[in-house]
Amino acid sequence: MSRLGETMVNFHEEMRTARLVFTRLLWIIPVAAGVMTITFFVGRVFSGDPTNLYAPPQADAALRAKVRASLGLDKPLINQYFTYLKDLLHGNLGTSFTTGRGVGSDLLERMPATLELGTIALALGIVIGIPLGVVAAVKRDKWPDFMVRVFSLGGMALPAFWVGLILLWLFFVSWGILPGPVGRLPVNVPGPPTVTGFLLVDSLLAGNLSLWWQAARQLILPSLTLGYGALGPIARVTRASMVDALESEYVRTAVAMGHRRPTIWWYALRNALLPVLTMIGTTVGYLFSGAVLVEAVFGWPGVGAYALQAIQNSDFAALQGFVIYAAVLFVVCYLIVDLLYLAIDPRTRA
Amino acid sequence: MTPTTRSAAGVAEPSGSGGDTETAGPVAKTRRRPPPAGALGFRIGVGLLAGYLVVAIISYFWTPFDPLGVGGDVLVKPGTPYLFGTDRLGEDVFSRTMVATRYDLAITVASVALALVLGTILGTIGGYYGKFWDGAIMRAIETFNAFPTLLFAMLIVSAVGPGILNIIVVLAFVGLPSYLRLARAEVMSRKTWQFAEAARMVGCRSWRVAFRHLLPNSIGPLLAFTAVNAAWVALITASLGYLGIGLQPGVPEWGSMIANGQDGIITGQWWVSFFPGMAILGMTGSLYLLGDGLGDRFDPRRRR
Amino acid sequence: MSADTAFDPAARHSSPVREPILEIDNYGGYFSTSADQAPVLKGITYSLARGAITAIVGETGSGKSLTALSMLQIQPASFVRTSGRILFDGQDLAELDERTLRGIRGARISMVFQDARAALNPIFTVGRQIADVCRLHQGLSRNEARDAAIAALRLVHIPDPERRVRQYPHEFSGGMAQRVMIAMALVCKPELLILDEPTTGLDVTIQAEIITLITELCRESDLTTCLITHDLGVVAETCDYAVVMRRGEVLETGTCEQVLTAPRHEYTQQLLAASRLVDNA
Repeated sequence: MSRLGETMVNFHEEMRTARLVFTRLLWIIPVAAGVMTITFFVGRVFSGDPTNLYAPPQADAALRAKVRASLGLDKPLINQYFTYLKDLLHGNLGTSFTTGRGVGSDLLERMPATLELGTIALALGIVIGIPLGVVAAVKRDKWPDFMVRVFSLGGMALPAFWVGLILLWLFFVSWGILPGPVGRLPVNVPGPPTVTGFLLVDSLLAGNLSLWWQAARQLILPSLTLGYGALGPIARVTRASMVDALESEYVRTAVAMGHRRPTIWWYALRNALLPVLTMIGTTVGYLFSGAVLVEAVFGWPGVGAYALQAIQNSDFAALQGFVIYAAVLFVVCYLIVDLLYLAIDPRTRA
Repeated sequence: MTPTTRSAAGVAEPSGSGGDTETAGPVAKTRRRPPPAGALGFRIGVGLLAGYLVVAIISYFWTPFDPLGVGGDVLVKPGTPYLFGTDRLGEDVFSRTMVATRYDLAITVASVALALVLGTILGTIGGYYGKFWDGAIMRAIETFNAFPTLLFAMLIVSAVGPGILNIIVVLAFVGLPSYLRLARAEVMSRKTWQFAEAARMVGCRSWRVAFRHLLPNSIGPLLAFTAVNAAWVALITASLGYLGIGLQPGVPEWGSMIANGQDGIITGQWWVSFFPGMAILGMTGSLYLLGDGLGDRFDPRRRR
Repeated sequence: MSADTAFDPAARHSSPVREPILEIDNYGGYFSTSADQAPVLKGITYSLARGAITAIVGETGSGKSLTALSMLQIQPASFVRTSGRILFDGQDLAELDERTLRGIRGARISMVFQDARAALNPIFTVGRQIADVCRLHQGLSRNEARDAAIAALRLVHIPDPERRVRQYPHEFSGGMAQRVMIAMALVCKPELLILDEPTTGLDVTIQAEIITLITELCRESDLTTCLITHDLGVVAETCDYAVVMRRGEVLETGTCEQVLTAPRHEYTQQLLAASRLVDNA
C-alpha cells in the first residue's frame, strides 16, 4: 500500500474513533432526560401534595392556594414538568426547605467531602482488589484463592454501615489508635483555607503538614469501610476474567514461546482488565449508595449525609437533587469507562 | 472397541475437512472439567438458608424472651440468660434477631420473586417479539440503570412512605430492569434454536413457543442471577432499616437493630449491633454462595 | 499392541542417513480428571528425523496433538505420564527443569497452533508479540527486535511488513494470522518446528498457500518439521515420513511413500480409501 493510501487508512480509523466517541457523548442526553423525568414523576405522583410541607396545618384555603401558586402547583402537570426541566437545565435543582438555600449550592458545598472519601475508597478497592484477584486466579483452588474468595465475599455480603461500626469499635473504642466519628477533622481544629475543598490537598497547599496528618487519620476508617465494599466485586471479577485469560489459547502460545511467568501473567492480565474496567464503572454507583451509609456512621459532612437529613425532614427537593446529581455523575463515569475501553482495547476501535 | 478414549488434549480439533472421515467408536469432544470448587460453597449456602427459614418459622411460636419486651435488664453482656445480651431498652437481642429473620427473609424473597416473575414475562415478550417493544424496554432499562440502586430505593420509599408492602413493591420495581434484560438476552440467544423452529413448524403458537419451550431452558441462568440479586436486596432492606426509612419504628429488623446499637459501640456495648450484622452476613453470604454454585452450572459463558 | 515399533526411517529413505532430532519412546499416560483414568496415550513410539518433514496423521482425539504438546512439556496439567520418554537431542524433556525448558521453547522447538487468530494476543500488536520472543531468547534491544519482527514477517511473505507489525491480530485474515504465527515460531531460528493442524478452518486456496509456504521455509533452511494433519493429500505432496495414529496408539510408521502406497494397517487403508487419494494417484 502506498504512503498516501496508508495515511488515508489512518485518517479513516481516526474518524471512526472520533465518531464513536461522539455517539457515546450524545447518548448521555436521552439518559439524563430520562433520569430527570423519572425523578419528577416519582416526586409528583408518589409523594402527594407538597403544599402541606410549606403551609402550616391550620392554613385556610386562600393561603394554601397562594402557596400552591408560588410553587407553581396550580398549573397542569405537563407545564410543571417543563418548568422543572427548564430549571434543571439552568442548574437550578430547587430550594431545600430545611436549609432554605438552593439544593445545587448545598450539594456543591458538600461535594468535596464525599469526593475525597469516594476517590480514596475507589483507589483502595482497585489497588488492593486487582492484585488479590490476580493472586487468586494464579493460585486457583489453592489456599490463597480460598482466602481471597472469602475476603472478597465479605466485602459484598457485609453491610457497609456495620463494617464501619465494627472498625470504630476496634480501632477507636478498644485500641484507641484512630480517631472517632467526628467528621473530617478533630473537634475544634479549624480547616485550611478552601481552595479545592479536598482537605488533603488544601492542607498541603497551606503548608500545614500536621493538619494534613490529622485529616488523613480521620479519613482512614471511612475510606477503608467504603473501599472494602468496592474491593469485593473488583477482586471477584478480576479473578474470574484472569482465570479465563490464563486458560486462553494466546496464553498457551506465550508459554510455548518460552516466556517467563511475569510476562505470561501480564499477557493474561492486559486482557483480563477489560471486564474489570466495566466493574469499576459499576462500582462508582455503589460508592454513591455506600456514601450515604458510611457518612451516617462517621458523621462525615458530605452529600450522602445531606441526603439522609433530607429524608428525615421529608425535604423532597433536596433528596431529588441529590439523586439527579448522583445519576448524572454515574452516567459520566460510565462514559469515561467507555472511552477508556476505546483506549485499551484495540478491537473496539475497528 | 471399548469407549476408553477420552479427548486427546485441551485442543479441540474440528473434524470434517480433509481426509478425516473414519470416526468409529465414541470420542468425547470436550475436556472433562474438574469438579467446580463452588460445590462445597453451594451446599453451605443451601444449608444456611434452610437454617434461616427454620429460625423464621420457629420465631412465630417461640423465642427465649419477648422480642418487644421492654423493661428487662438494660445492656446486659452476652451470656446467660441473654445469649446475645440486651439493648438499651432491655430487649433481648437474641429474640429480636430471631424475629427480624422473618421480616428480612420475607421482604427479600417476596420482592425478588415479584421482580423475577414480572421481569421474566416482560423480558421474554421483548426478546421473542423484538422490534418495537424490545427497543422501548431497552431504552427504559438504560435510564433506570443510571440510578444507583440504593438511592433510587431511598427516593421511592421516602415518597411512598414506610411499610413492609411498600418496601417489597419498591425493591421489586428497582430490581425489575435487570431481570428483564437477562430474560431478554437468554430468550434472544435461543430464538433460532432448532427445537424452537421445530415447535413452530408443528404449529405451536408463538407465545407457547416462547413460554413453554424457550423460557424453561433459560431458567437456570435466571435463578443464578436471582440468588445474587437476593443478596443485594437483603443488603438494601437492611440499609433502609439502618437509615430508618424502611419499616415503622419498633419493628425488629436487622438494619434498624444495628442503628439502635450504634451509640452503644462508642461506649463499648458492641453486642447490640454486632449480632444482627452477623445475621445479615450469614444470609447475604449464603445467597452469594448459592448464586455462585448455580452460576457454575448454568453460566452461558461456561457452558459454551 | 499393533504399533510398528521397529521403525528405522533412515534405512528406507533415499537421502543420506539422518539422525533423529527427537525420539518418543513408549510414551503413555492418562488424564487424572477422567473418571476411569483410562490411558489416552498407549506406548507412543516414533522419531523425527533431522531435516525432514514428518506427518502425524490421525482422527480427532487420536492423541496426536497431546503428544505434540508433550514435546514442549506444555500438555494439560491433568495429564499424568505413566511410561516412556521424549528425548530431544538426547535429553529426556520430562527430566528438565522449568528454566531449561523455557530456553528450549520458542528458541529450539517452536509450535504453531490451529486457530492463529485465537492463538495471538488480541491486546498487543503482532510486532510487539514477535519482538517479545526475540528479546526473550536473543536479548535484542527494542529497536533490533522490531527490525527482526519486520524481517520475520517479510520471510513469510506478508506484504508491507513495516505497516503490518503495528497492527493487531483482529486486523489480519485467518491465513495472514497463520503466517504471523509461523513468523513468530521461526524468528529465533528453531531446530524443530511443530505445526498442529495449521490449515484447519482456512479456505482451501489459503490452505494450499500456507502449506506451500511451510514446505518452502523448511526445505530452504533444512528445518526439521513435524506436521500434524488429517489431510492425506498434504501428506502425499509434502512430507518425507508419516506416522498414523488412532485412539492413543501409533498404528503405522514409515516413509511417506511406503505408508501411502503400501499401507500395512487396515485403518490406514480405510483412511486412504476415504480420502480418494488412491484413485487420484
